[in-house]
Amino acid sequence: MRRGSLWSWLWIMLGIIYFFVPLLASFLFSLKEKLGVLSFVAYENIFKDPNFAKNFSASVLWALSTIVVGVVIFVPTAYWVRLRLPRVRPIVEFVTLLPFVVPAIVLVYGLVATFSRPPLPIVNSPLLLIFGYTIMSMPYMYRAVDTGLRAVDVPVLTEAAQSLGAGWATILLRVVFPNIRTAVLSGSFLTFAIVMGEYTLAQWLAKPAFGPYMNLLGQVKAYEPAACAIISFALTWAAMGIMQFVGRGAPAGAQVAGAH
Amino acid sequence: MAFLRLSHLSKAFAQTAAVQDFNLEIEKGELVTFLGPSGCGKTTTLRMVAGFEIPTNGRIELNGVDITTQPPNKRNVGMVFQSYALFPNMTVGDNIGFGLRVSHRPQKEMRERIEEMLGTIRMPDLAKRFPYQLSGGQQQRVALARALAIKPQVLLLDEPLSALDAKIRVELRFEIRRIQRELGITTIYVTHDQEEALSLSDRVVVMNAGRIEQMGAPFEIYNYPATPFVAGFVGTLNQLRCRVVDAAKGRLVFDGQEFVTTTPLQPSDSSVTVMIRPEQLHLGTLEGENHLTGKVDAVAFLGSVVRMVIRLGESVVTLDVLNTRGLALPKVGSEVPLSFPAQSSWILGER
Repeated sequence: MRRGSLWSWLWIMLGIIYFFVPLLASFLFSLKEKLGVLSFVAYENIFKDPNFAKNFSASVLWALSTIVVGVVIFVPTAYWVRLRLPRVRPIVEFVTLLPFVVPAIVLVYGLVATFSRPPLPIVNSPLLLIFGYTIMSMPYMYRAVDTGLRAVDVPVLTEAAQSLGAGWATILLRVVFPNIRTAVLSGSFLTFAIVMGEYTLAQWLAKPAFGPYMNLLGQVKAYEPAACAIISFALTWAAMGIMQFVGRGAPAGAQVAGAH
Repeated sequence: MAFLRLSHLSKAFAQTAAVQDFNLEIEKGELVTFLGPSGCGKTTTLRMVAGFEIPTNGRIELNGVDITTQPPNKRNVGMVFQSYALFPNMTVGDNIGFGLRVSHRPQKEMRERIEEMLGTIRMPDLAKRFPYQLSGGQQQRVALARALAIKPQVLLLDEPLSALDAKIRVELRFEIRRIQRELGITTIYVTHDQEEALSLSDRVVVMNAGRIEQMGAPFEIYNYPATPFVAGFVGTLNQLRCRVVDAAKGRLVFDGQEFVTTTPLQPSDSSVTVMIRPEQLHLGTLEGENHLTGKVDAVAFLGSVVRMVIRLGESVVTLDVLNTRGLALPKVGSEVPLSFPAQSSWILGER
């Protein structure tokens, strides 16, 4: 074996250990609720807790709503920027990256300060939470859509559709969207994973969600929070796995075709 | 009354004028080609007819209706693109039926029309295929069928064959012409390929730098170019700078060798540029024709013809010989006699 590849293996092993040991430790810990034996009692307790169901389903609802709002906003925007405003693309890209720079706590303060008074006093409405999540998911959703659009000859397909009599809505729904479905799906799964684990926004806007529930659990229980962390990990991984499965290597056209 | 009338059309992008004062009338069922180098404004003009560009000035009338500012999806104009532009997510059948689906035609009509168009492009069994499963030539046929399925008033083709192999290109060229004739559809065809333009069109519009240089039947454009640009762009042309010896008798001197032309010369001219096509020149000394002598600079075998470059003093002329199996090619550097009839040379602008 060459020296170079030996080194790479060493680094990979170190990375895996760094990543998996805590996870494994959490998992083992979560199994130790009953003294002296390994059991899934902690998991049972969580699944039996009505608050778990309530908070978990709330988070699922927030995540799905965020995906819908995100798709409705970002697909037409990314499409229009590619079609008509290629020069503002760097600016738009910068804006979409802002949520990485602005901490969630700053975002939530801004949202509360702005929307607790007229003209839009929606601070108590779940809409504000969904809009906040939409902003947080923007880097993932926008970029996924933009990357998807790159693989499609947007201007020419648009003109082809126009010359056949199609208006903007038809072009978006029948031509653009089906051709970037895979990209939209991967953006959606990322969004789902982020919203499911999010804490700050839900906590400060006082809405039921999985994140604050986990936090509360951590303050009152010992083994359940570890079990909860494992559940949320499994969920994220499942999302990633589905994403990989849906977006497997084939060319965009072939893939869409296969799914027909 | 012309079916499609473009009057005083111009288009400027920022500071540059892409098209200037473009005037053209196209009759119903006619196939008109816009021919010119890239950047000459041919595609911009086509895009104005399609509605993708709004003219800076001028007017477009289709069947008596002013469509100058009408959006593209309201024009009922079919368009075929260089890159095919088929919808990758749809089957061949769905691509062809897209226009009818958009205009909410009944299912039955749609199916029949798709069937009919597949027959027209001679691909009857491929309705269920996806574009990526087709060759470039097949994709472009489907694109043509899709454009024609909506029964457009005008068909626009923007360099439709430029992305295809040479053989397919020629095949499809005749296919397009056949379909166009069958349907009697008014067509504008944009190309930079002069052979395509000459072989396909009822009329050719030669464009340069945003303006029309000349329009006419292919025969006319080739044999009677009106401007130096057309003379240089369409086909290969020898331009001989000659001294006039006797204007009345048509006697000229080129490279110290005298010949005669039947084209009228002005007595006032001391020198003129005489044009002659390569295929009008031949090797050898034919009785009753002009004779010149030169040295062979290069010989290029092109298949059906052999193209030679012959040096006469400071200048060179190009000469085409039809290929035959018994043809003896002259050696590079050897001295050869050329001959051409007096009536085959002409002066630019003469008709």
